Amino acid sequence: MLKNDSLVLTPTARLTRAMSQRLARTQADAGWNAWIQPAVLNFPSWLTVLRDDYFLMADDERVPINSSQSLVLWQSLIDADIFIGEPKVAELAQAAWRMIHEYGLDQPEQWPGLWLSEDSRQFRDWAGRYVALCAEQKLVDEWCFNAELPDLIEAGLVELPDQLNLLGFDLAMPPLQQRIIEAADKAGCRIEWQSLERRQLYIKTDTKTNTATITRFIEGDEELLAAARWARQRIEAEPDQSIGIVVPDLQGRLGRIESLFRQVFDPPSFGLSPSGPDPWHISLGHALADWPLVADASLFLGLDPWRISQPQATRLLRSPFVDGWIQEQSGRAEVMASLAQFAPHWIDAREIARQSERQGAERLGGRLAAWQAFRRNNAKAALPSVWAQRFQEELSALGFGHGRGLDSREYQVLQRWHELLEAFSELDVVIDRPLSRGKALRHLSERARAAVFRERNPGAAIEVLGVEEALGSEFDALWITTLDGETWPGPARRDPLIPGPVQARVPGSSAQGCLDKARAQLNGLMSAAGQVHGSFASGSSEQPLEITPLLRHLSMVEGDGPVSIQTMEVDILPDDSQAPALPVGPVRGGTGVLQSQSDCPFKAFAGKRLGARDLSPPRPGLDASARGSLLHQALEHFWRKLPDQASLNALGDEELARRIESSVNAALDWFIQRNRLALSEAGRKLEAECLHRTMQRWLAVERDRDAFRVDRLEAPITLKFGKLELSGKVDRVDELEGGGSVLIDYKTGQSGRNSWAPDARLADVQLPAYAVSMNPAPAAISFARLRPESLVFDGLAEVDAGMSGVEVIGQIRRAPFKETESWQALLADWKISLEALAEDFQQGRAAVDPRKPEVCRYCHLMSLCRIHERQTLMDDKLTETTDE
Amino acid sequence: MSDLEQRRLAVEPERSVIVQAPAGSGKTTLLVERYLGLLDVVEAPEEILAITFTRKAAAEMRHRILQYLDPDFTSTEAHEQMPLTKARKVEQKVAEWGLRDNPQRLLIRTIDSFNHYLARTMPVASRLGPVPAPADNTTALYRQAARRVLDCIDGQDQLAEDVRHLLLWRDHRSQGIEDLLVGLLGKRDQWLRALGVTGETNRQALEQVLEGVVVTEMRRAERALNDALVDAGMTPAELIDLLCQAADSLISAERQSVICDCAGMERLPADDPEDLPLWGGLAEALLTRTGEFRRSVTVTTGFPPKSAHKDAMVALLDRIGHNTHLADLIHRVRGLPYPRYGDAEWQTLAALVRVLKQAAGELELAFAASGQTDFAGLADAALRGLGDSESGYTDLALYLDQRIRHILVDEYQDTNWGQYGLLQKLVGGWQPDEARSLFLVGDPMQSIYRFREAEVGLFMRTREHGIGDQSLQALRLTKNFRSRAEIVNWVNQRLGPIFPHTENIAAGAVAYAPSEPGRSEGGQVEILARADVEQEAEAIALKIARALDSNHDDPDYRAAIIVRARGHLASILPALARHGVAYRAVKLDPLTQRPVVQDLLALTRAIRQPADIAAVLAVLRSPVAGLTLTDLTALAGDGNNINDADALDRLSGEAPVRAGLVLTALRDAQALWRTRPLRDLVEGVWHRLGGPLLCARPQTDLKDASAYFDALSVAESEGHLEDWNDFVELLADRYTEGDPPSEDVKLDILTMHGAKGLEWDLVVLPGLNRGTRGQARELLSWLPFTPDEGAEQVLLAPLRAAHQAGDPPLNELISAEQKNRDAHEHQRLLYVAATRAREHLLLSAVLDPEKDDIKPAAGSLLADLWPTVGAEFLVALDTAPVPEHDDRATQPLNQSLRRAPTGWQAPMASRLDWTPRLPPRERAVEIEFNWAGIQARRAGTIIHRLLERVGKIGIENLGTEQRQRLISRIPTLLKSMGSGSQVLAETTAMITRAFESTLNSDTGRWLLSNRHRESACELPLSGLVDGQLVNAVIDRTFIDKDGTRWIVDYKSGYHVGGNLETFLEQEADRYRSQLMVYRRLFEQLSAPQSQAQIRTALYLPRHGVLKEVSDQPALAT
Ligand code: SF4
Repeated sequence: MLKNDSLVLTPTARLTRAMSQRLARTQADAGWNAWIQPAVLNFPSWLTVLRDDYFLMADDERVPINSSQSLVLWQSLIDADIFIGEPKVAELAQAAWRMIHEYGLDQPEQWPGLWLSEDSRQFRDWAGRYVALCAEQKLVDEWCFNAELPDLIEAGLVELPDQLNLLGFDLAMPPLQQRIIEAADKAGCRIEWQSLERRQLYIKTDTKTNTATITRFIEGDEELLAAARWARQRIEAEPDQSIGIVVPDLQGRLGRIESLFRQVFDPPSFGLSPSGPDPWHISLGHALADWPLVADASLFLGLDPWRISQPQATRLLRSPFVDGWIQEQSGRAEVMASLAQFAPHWIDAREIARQSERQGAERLGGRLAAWQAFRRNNAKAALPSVWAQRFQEELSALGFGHGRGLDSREYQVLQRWHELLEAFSELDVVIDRPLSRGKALRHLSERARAAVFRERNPGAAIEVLGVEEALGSEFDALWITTLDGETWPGPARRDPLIPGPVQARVPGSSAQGCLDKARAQLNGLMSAAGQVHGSFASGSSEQPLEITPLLRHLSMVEGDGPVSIQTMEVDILPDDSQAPALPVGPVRGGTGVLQSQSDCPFKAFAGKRLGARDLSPPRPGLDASARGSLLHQALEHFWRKLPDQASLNALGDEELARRIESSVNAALDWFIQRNRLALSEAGRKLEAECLHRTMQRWLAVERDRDAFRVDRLEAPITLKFGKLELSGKVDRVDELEGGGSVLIDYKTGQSGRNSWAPDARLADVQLPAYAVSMNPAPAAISFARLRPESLVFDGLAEVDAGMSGVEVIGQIRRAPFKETESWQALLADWKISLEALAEDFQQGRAAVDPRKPEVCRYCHLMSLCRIHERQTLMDDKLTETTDE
Repeated sequence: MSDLEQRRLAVEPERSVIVQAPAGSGKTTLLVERYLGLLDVVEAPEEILAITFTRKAAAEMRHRILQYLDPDFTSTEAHEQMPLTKARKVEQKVAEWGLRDNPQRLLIRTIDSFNHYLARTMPVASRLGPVPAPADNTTALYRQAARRVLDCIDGQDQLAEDVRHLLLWRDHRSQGIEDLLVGLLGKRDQWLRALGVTGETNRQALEQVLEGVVVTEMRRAERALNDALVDAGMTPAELIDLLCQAADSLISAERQSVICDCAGMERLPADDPEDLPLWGGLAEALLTRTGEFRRSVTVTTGFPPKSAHKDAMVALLDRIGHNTHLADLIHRVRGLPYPRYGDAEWQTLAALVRVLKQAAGELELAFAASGQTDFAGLADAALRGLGDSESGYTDLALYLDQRIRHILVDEYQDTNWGQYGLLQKLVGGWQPDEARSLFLVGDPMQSIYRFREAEVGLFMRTREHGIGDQSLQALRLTKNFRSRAEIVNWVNQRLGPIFPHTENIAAGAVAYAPSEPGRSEGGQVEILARADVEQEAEAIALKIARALDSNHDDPDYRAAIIVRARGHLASILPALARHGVAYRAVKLDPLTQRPVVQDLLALTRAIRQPADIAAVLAVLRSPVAGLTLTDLTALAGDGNNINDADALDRLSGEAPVRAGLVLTALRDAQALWRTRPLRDLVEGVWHRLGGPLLCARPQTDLKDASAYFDALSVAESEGHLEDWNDFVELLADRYTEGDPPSEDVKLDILTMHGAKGLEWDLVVLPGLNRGTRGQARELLSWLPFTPDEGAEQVLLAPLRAAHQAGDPPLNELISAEQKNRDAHEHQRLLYVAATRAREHLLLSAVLDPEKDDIKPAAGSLLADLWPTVGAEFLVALDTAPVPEHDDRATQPLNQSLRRAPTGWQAPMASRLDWTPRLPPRERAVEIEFNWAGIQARRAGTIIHRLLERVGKIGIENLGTEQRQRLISRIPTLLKSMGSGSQVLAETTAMITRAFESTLNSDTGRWLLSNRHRESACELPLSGLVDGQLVNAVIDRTFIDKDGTRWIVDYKSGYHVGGNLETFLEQEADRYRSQLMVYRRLFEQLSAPQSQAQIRTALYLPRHGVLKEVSDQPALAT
């Protein structure tokens, strides 16, 4: 009873699983609650078993290595300087090596020179060195060993079952498999070819009797949706059946399939409500590296605690796998927000930890500290197995895996990740020198990219599978997608490293081979179920695909287009631009409120009252505003120590330079203290030099004007417009020699005095607001424009202020000030506009109304204000009015 | 030769030709016919390569060829008879090739796809390795490369110094430089080629190139000046005298002027660069700022009133004033740079070139690391793979099954240097004695892809010199079968003359080649001019409405509005709507300008970053909830926190319900964060809230939404979501697909580039008066040119320093020439646009009637047309109807709030209720990877296998030799599991110990005996336990002599130190449930009556202990 000496062999893992699943059903149906699994293996696994058995007993001193170990050997042969895509070149070489063995092609050393391209010559060279390397280290890779198997079998050195039942081999076996079977046969093993009950073939030469139809869709998504709906209908009618959906480009469409099937089978879950088990299963998964769990783990291992970019920090802060996620997720989001607003692009772990503590994410803060300590210890190069250990230590320090509870799929991913780490530690055999962290991680992530994660199939009724997997199977109904002319037959793909004549017999390497293969596959698929549907999508691009020529005799029907949805009539509130009035009390912030109100009332409302802050992350390097404030600081510093122009003029060149330097340094110190990693050492030097240069040139401009005394720097000022109380700071107030003061605003941007043109919507409110709020009113206001290509004063005055670039109202003959009669009139104008703006803001007038289109360009509120919708609505309205 | 004769020659299979095929000359049919003819002379279809400009063209060509090859296809059309005959001729061959079943064999590709194909074919020779399809979104990688380079500043090497230099030069605007580098990396094929032309960046050599240019210009001016003086009857000495006097007079008046440089001059300036100041003075004296001859002279240029030399000067100006050619030449010379780089400039240039090359290198690394590439990378790889003339061209026969013997290239006028190089190399590999041919077809007059470095000069160059050793016969078609005679003639007469009279390969100046009408008489060209855009829009809309109306019984009648830029449509679209004209806009709008996309963006942000209040509020404001400003204020305004537990209580009326739906959905999305792609989360919330059902224009909106989702997917899978800026940048490049084609929509709206190759009955070209934006600034300016004699050269200049307010002369020289080349392309653009019309062409412009001298803006297409059509535009303006007073003051924006009706909730279909019949039992997984256990696990596995082996043969049958053999295998087994040499000996000893002690112990021998009944090792047992499917493998089981069924699981755990018993109890606890499952399976396996007593145990070989595990834990004592 407990003996089982026959083995069922299948071409694919899917078929193996399907076999045991089917058995489970029959047993269960028959009322059995336990049974002994017959031995079923797919061919590759069987080869592994044979190999393991052989090496358990054999008198063979070679050590078998697996494919990731052999990949390391290939990599060691390839010159990474020439091939910067080196790891992938090695994969290519490995694939060619496999093909040579699997298809019994001539060994590279036998290739005639005449056939060799540069690629195959190079590969021949690599292969020669690879063989030598294996021999030297006494290693044998799986394909070399597999190729020996027929001989070993015949020599009786490998144990075989008494009987082999071959099931589902619809396509011709590769030559090596054939030879192994033949050898087994010779060695006395009984070989049985079993075939599933074959249905009548659908593809017939006689088109008249054929009833099968192919449905044509436009979009690939529509095709998948239709297949899913069809499957759902079938399952609704009869839950207990097996349905296959074949998608040739499964890998490329995984994401869509998952989403669309969820949409069809479980709309609530598609809408993010909790769900139960899915009746469908996709037989392929994303690369392991693409699963969030693995992606996050890899990222964390590569993170440098002393230099973290904000995008990286985001990943860390938003990783649900890190301990404390449940409790701290909103705190961590706040950390992200404050980093984006106030920190530079490059930060360090300490900074994140500090912010975390501030935002109530202490747990993360603590984890980060522990993690950093490990990182410090794990700096030295080490062997893969040591790295595997360190990697786990570091992840544990972060509390990785202890965030939100994992779902069943994530557990499976986690397990695969562990396997990956384990496999990585196995590289000790082929890597004898310690690796740096970077190298170690590269090996690990290459493997994570190459490893495909397949979720276990819990016995789903509907399977979405690729062509190879579907072949040889049996379904109650099958839907074959993508039956277009580009897929059937596909383009011939030669192995680029093997000379053409050598690989002539590999199907798929020649046009004819592809055609034959496509025919055979289609035949196989068409007979894999009692009911077969076919479809393809022509695509909406300008080059529609057509049905495969191999099936063009079948009749075609048009599939459903996108479901035409019944849209809802929306309710329309004709005007919702009025917010509640602002409760009384002083308003935080300076003239920015009025500036926003002038630029766009909605922007003022959303920005100032709703707190709709801009969370776009900073870019590396200093942005214009940081550089502006540095210059501000430096100038402030400079003038703090110098009372007036006379003392400026009195400075000798050296002394001037010294003072500039110290101001620049003070500004930079101040800046770097707040943004530690915003500037590197060289960056600081560069910035210092530029600041110095600009200041020097600017101070020449200051020397060039009439005498003045610096009256106030960064002078606080209170403003009152209507019910609005604001506060501000004037960059500088100078006392002019002839009496009167001038307000100076340092500008590193482009704007000039034209932005003060009298207008209900002032383009620049700051200095006008200060000017009308000062008593006595200043005699002049001016921008100090500090752009390297233009260092000038640009302002307006009541009387000549002795500053070139500051023009006197009344004497200006050009727009927009040619009509302005007097300084007082201008101030009065401004006051009216400013009070109106203040009133509007206070009253909650929040119309979406940009002063000019450019205002919107850098505004982050487009989604909130719905400006684009309003623009289209405006168009429509215009139509209506003229229609009448 | 007649048109017919030319066509006949063009399709002769083995004749190499370059065919100029103007608009409407039936180029595609010619290509197809040639292809069919070639099939007859080749052994395999792969010998023919056809390169098209777009994938659409490739698909179309393939389609047409297959159509002809279909034996059932017939046609009565005259022009289809020849191709059909040729197709019939190869019918047999085609069947043998299986070509109709395997159309992949037709090698018809775009240049990009062919490059891809080649690079993939030769991964080693191309140095690229395996090539994925080129990525769509490479900007993020460009940025990465640029940042890497900029990150170097702290180094000690040359590169660091270079980067620092560059940053200083540009006032440390590192972000700006980053952007500029990103821009340049996108077109690195262009400047890398240019840098390749110059070779090593050598100051002297570059200055020589520059000097060559300067001297040539000076020489031209010198000659023209001398000629003019002769014509004017003046000697050089007289002019010299005039200038000297002017200079003297300025100097004595202490006036500053460049004319002062002429003081004491002894000869007229010639072609010596040192004469440039003299030229400057001379130019200043003769010319106005804008480069026209002065009409009079004044004291400001040194000619005081009533002075004698003033009169003489005025007289001279009178005589030469008409000579605009001379004025142009002098004016150009005045702007010429002194042909030496300033030191700082030179250092910057040299540094810049090194930095750029490094950036290109970094980009390659970034590509390699991400497994991506772009088209430029592919083209480069393909070129590398094909070898070169020095080390020999690659023999493609070694890579492809067939040698490519015949090449057809479509749209050859838009070829670029890369493609030209590729052809050169393909042709270079041809053996002299084999049959081969080239067929290049295109129309230089339709070359409009300068921004992609299409180089129309290459067409002319190829026509003159051939490619490689291949010379080509030049053919020219003349018949236009598209447009009616009136249009063809109009184009000949009005557009013809604005083309340059002489060709200039370097400047891309193409001469006009007239067409002959191939269709009947008739057709119409109409000129329209209005005083403002609104009137223009109204007039155009009216015209189109009428045209469509009067042709409404012709189902195929189609019209198009073709513009240069989307902005030109602002007034037209509303006007069309007013007139009820439906239209289909193709790829015009940036995706982010669509309201639906903004809604989705807000959702994306709210899910990605829950603290993004602006985004959360935007979702709440969008139609799915439609909260009013009052609601929003209550929720989050004036210091309120939206995350408060009672936030919803602050709302009144239906608002809490509306807000609640959104906030719950967002919370659910957080719960699923990182279990699904972000795209699915966004899409899920959107559907759940009824977003699709609330779209204003469902058809277009859903298309836009799906384009957005695609972008989101791509961004997520390529890692462009980590930095939100990357995503924003990626989105900025995306355009709406436009409206789907529809039978009822007769009017297309598209850009001139988009219109290429298409045709309509009525074509409207509005806004011809509009200019274009200026050229963007680049870090490096480069200008390839070919002097009249000699090889190609390149002028190079760095971007001006930050403190320079204007461009230095060298940069100006380069940009002036670029503008000149652009101007030539404008003419061609106009030609392309105008020749799209079959029946009716309407050209329209806005002109300001208030102006005295109505003239189109420079750089507008109208400016090009002005010499030949200006008068008609003026007439059109005069006769334009005066509009009724129509006050279209800027209308305030709509301030409405659109939202789902009260109480509405999106319907949700139900879930298919389904559970698997046999759900599998889940196994527990440790969160932490047990690294410490690696060796132990390996040891365990090996012990397992050893024991399995022994158990199978039975310990009684195990000979000493076999036993020794097994032991000797342990190191190899360990190694094959990945154990390195450091741990090998130790682990081997440990395994050996465990194995030996098991074999030697009584318990071990009993376990492994073959005397038991129903014994098995590694028994695969399945069954149902608690309704769940279990698959188990039992290490060892048997029925002992007492009839007891033993189930034993091997465990390789090991305990150091005392109290082994406690350890064993712990192990028992740990594996109890597992063993109980095994027990259940065995119980279920046989009928109850025949059941033996079952005992379960762990066996720990390293301790040699069998620990029986009962179903209840032992009571602690
Ligand atoms: S995007 Fe424009 S309209 Fe909207 S809030 Fe900002 S500035 Fe106002």
